[in-house]
Amino acid sequence: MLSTHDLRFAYPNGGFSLSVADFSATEGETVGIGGSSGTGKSTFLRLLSGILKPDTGTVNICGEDAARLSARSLRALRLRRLGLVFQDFALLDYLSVEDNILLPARLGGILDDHVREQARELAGHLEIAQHWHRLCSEISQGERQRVAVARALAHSPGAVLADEPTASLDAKRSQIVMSLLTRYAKEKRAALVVVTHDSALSSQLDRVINVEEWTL
Amino acid sequence: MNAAGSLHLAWRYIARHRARTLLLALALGLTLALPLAVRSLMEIAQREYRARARATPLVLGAKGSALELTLNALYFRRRGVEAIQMKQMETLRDSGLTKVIPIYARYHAQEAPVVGTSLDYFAFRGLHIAEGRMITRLGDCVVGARLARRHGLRPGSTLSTSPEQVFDIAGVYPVKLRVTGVLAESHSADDEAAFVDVKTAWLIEGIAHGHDDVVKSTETGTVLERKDGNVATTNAVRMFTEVTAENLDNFHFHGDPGAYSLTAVIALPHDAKAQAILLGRYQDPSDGTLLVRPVEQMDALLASIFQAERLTLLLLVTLGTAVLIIATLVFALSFKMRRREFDTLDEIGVASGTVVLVKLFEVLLVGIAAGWIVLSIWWLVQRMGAALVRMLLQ
Repeated sequence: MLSTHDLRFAYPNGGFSLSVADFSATEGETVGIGGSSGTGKSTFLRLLSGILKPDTGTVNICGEDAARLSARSLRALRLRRLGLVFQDFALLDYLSVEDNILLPARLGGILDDHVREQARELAGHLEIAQHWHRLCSEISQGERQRVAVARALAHSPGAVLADEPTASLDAKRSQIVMSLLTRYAKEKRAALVVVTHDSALSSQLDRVINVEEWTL
Repeated sequence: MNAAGSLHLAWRYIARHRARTLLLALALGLTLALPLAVRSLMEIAQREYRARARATPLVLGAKGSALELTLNALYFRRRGVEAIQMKQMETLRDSGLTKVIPIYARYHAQEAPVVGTSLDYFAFRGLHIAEGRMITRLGDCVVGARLARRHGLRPGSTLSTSPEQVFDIAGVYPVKLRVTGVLAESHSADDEAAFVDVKTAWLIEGIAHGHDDVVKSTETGTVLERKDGNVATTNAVRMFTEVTAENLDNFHFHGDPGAYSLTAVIALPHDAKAQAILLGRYQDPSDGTLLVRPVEQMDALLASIFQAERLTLLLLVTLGTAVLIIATLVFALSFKMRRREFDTLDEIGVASGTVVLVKLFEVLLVGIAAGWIVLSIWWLVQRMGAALVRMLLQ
């Protein structure tokens, strides 16, 4: 589902580089990426999702070699097949909770009643349904994080990449979010890659990789 | 690309920032509409000015400013016009080449011009009575439709003339005019004027007056002396400030009728040849008069106005260009400040064309709002421009 081979990446200013021999997350598998701050976890997720282009090596997303895809096709693949939860949530403040959750489906041209229904269900599970029509600028940080999670799942992606999806949540809600993500992965046979510092939450995942084991 | 999704996003952004969008649209709309409105108003003004001037073949008046004379005869403007004498109108009439209509527009009532003229004026301008009847005797007036509306005048109302100067104790006294009729609206300067017989204008001027009959009076104390047909009286003799059926016969004129004043005479030559002859005769008149073709004066005036208009338009276009540049800068800065938002769209995989469309739709929506403002102003100018121009022409 998601894999990399002999991946090497360095930022142009030369301050940081990452080297990963092999990585894979198969259908329905849940993988945690752990490690200290600044060790390249978020960079790896961006490489895995095709947002960043590696200097060498291959990235395979849902059976497609990212290097062989045109920029346009790679974007389309990311929009429809991947669900991304960003560390800073990356919500559009002028949109309502509903519009933010439905954004990938709407702009990917796959918005229908089924997606809407699924989005409402997710909002219910994540306890944000009461804010459905409120602007994202008007809700709390924790609620914004849950909107970001719902946005990643609403269009039924084949793989989910989440960068610290529980960082702004209390223990109870962190548990709710992690359960939702892992249940989604198992039920939809989707690969789940989660960056997290929380060892308690990591224990719910099939396996955890420490980035520090990779060459930095 | 997903046009519907882009439009949705753009619309949401615009709706969320309504005040900012409205301000930007207003700035753009007004900038675009102003030159159009000025141009349109100028065209209407040109039409209005030329139409009335074209309908008035010749105007005779005192030597001086031909334009002021034209404005007095056509729009009853009082400033800067010297008077001519009745006998000069009679000379023109006696030429047998033209019909003449006297105009004595020097006085006013409640800020409206009081125009002394003859009944021919109403036929000449195609004016007719909408309510009441035409003037029949000294002291009567008919009023223009807008003047009547503004002051609630109806047949039977009275209209007092205003003294020309507040401290002019020995000068023109107010005369209470009887409104006998209201003219139908003509969408011209006539709508704002009160019309009286030229004799009533002279009454306002003080050439005519009315008072108690001191010849037949048997009242003691008012007559000081009777000698050789002349009667000397005290100040106790009652002067009439209003003409009524009872005192009408007590009004009389003093002096030589040929020397009575007029501010202008509208001349309606029988044909083009008569007009040419008259213009030739009055090229260098020795009696201090001036015969002008109003259309020429208006053309000269409009030419000056158009020069000013061109300058105004140039300034407005320059201003418009500046506003467009600023608007472009506003959009550019706005998009730059929203870079994280567009990066997000890029990162979740939205096609770059869709992101460009979002920006284009936002510009387009502001443009549509500005266009709506332009259309509204255009509609207003088309609907109310003529009235506005007529108001400005007063």
